[in-house]
Amino acid sequence: MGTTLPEQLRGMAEEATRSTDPALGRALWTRGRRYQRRRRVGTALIVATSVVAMLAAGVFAWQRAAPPAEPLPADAPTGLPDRIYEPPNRWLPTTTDAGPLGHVVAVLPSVERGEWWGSRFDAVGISATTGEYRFLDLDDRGFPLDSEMALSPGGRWLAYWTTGTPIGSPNTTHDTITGIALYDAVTDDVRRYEIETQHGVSPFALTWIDPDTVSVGVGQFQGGGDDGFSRLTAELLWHATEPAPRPDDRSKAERRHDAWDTEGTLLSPSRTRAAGPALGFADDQGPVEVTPIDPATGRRAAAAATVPDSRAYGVLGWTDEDHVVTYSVEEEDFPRAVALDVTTGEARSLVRLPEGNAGTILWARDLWGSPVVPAEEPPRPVDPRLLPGMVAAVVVLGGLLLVLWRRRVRP
Amino acid sequence: VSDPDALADGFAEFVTARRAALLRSAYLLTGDHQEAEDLVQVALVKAVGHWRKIADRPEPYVKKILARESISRWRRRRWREQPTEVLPERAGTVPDPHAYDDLRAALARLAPRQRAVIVLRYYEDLTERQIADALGVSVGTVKSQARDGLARLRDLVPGLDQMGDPVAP
Repeated sequence: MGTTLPEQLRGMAEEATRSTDPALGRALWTRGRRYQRRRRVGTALIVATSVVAMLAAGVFAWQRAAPPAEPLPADAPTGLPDRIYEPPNRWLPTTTDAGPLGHVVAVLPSVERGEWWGSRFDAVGISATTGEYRFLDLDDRGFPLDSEMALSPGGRWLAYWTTGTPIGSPNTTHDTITGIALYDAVTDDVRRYEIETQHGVSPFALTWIDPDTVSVGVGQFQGGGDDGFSRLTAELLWHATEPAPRPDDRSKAERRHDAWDTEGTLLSPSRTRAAGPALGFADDQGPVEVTPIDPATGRRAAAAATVPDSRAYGVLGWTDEDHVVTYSVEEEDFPRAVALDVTTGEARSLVRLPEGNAGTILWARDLWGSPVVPAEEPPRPVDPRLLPGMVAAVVVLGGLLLVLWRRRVRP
Repeated sequence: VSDPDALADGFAEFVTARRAALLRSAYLLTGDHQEAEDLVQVALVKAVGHWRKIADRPEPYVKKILARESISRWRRRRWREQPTEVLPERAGTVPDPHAYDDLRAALARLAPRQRAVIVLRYYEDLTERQIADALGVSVGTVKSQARDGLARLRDLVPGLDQMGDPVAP
C-alpha cells in the first residue's frame, strides 16, 4: 500500500472493480433514449404553457383596450349617449395616441390618469359622434379654484386656464395662472394666449356667449404667496377663429344676457327664457322656475313661473324652446338628465348620470336636442405596466419550473 | 456516425470497455459501491442524448457528468438523508477491506466539491484548467478547493505525507 495520495487513491479505487454484463450497454442505451424523450416532451410542455400564458395575457390586454365593438352610427352627426360612465378607466387612450375625438358631447373635467410613476388628473372628452372616451391633452392646464374650464355649446372648443411664470413673485393660493387656451376637439390643437401678470391671474369668468365666442373675466392677484386678494382687471372676448382675445366692447343689454346664463340659470336657444331652480334650493332639489326675458334689453319681461311638479338640483341646457334639461334624482334611482316640458312639467329621461360627480360634467349645450343613442361602456385597458410584468413573471416562472423539472426528472 | 444502431453499438462497446474505470472514479467520488454503481449508470444514461456529438471521445464528457452529478446528488441527499443502522455493503472481492479505511473516512469528511477536485487532480491526473471545466467553476476555485482539501486530508490521515503532487501546467 503506497503512502502518497495518488497511490492510495488508486489502491482504494481498485475496491470498486467489478465485471460488466455485456447486455448492460444496450439496456443503458434504451434507458438513455427514454430519458431523452421525457426531457424533450417535458421541456416542450413547459415552454408551450409559458407561450400560451403570455399569449393569453396579450389577448386579455388587447381585448380590454379594444374600442367599443359597435360605435354610434356614423351617419348620425351627433348623438346624446343615454349614459355617462364615470370615472372611466385611468388608462384610457389620449387624443395624442388615438387621434382627436371630433365634437364632444361632454367633458369630465377631472379624471385620474395613470402614469408610469404615479398619476395626475386630466380631462376626458366623450365624442358626440362615436361615444368614445379619451383623455384630452391640454398643455399646461391649471387647476384654479373657480371658472376652471368651459365647453363651447357645439362641443368643438374647450376653454381653460394655463399655468406659467408671472413677472413677480407667484401667487400660490392655487396653481399660478398666466394665460388662457382654446383646445380644438376636432384638430386636437391648442391655441394659447399669455396674459401679462405680476403675481398670477385670478380667473373670474369663462363663459361661452355664442357657439364660437368665449367671454373671459381676468382678475389679477395683488400679491404673491398665499395672499388671495384679487381684482377684476379685464373682460375679454375670444372668438375661436381669431388668434387672440380682444376687449369686450358689447352693449349693456348684450351683457345682461350673460347674467342669465351664469347665475344658476340658463337661456333658451332664442334667449327669451331663462330657467333655473327656485331661489332657496341651491343645495337641494327644488322646483324649476322659468323667467321670460326681453331679447332687446336682456331684462326680465314678466314674473317667473314655476314648472308644475318639477324638482331638480340645477339646469343643464335646453333641448328646444319648450324643454329645459335638468339634473335631478328620484328616490331609489340614478341621477338623470331629464328633459322637462316647461309648460306641463312632463319629464323624459335623457341621460343616466354617474353618482357623486354629475354636477361637475361640462356639457355641449347645443347638443341636448340630438337624438339619444345607446351608450357604449368605454374600454378598460389593463395597466400597461402589468403586461411586461406578467410576461416577465411567466418567463421567470416557466424558466424556474423548467430548471427544477429538468433537475428532478431522473434517468 | 449517424446510423442509430451503429451509435447504440458504439455506446455498448464503450460501456463494456470503460465501465470498470468509470466505476473506480465514481467509487472515489462517493465512497459507496451502490452509489458508485448508480452514479455511473446515471452518467451513462445522460450521455446517450449527446452521444452523436461525443462518440469519438466520450470519456471526458462522461467523467464530467460523473463529477457534477456526484456533487449535486450529495446536495440533494443532504435534505432527505435518513439515519440507518445497517452499513453499506462492501465489495466482496477486496483483499483487505480495511486497507483504506482512513482515506475513505477522510474523503467522506470533505465537502463534495473538494472531494471531486482531489479525485480529479490526484486520481484522474487532470490539470486545474480541465478540472475547472469539468466542474463548471473557475481555476481559482479549483486551486482553493484543492489546497483546503489537501490540508484537511493531512489532518485526517497523518501518514499521508507524500502527496506526489503533479506539477501544475
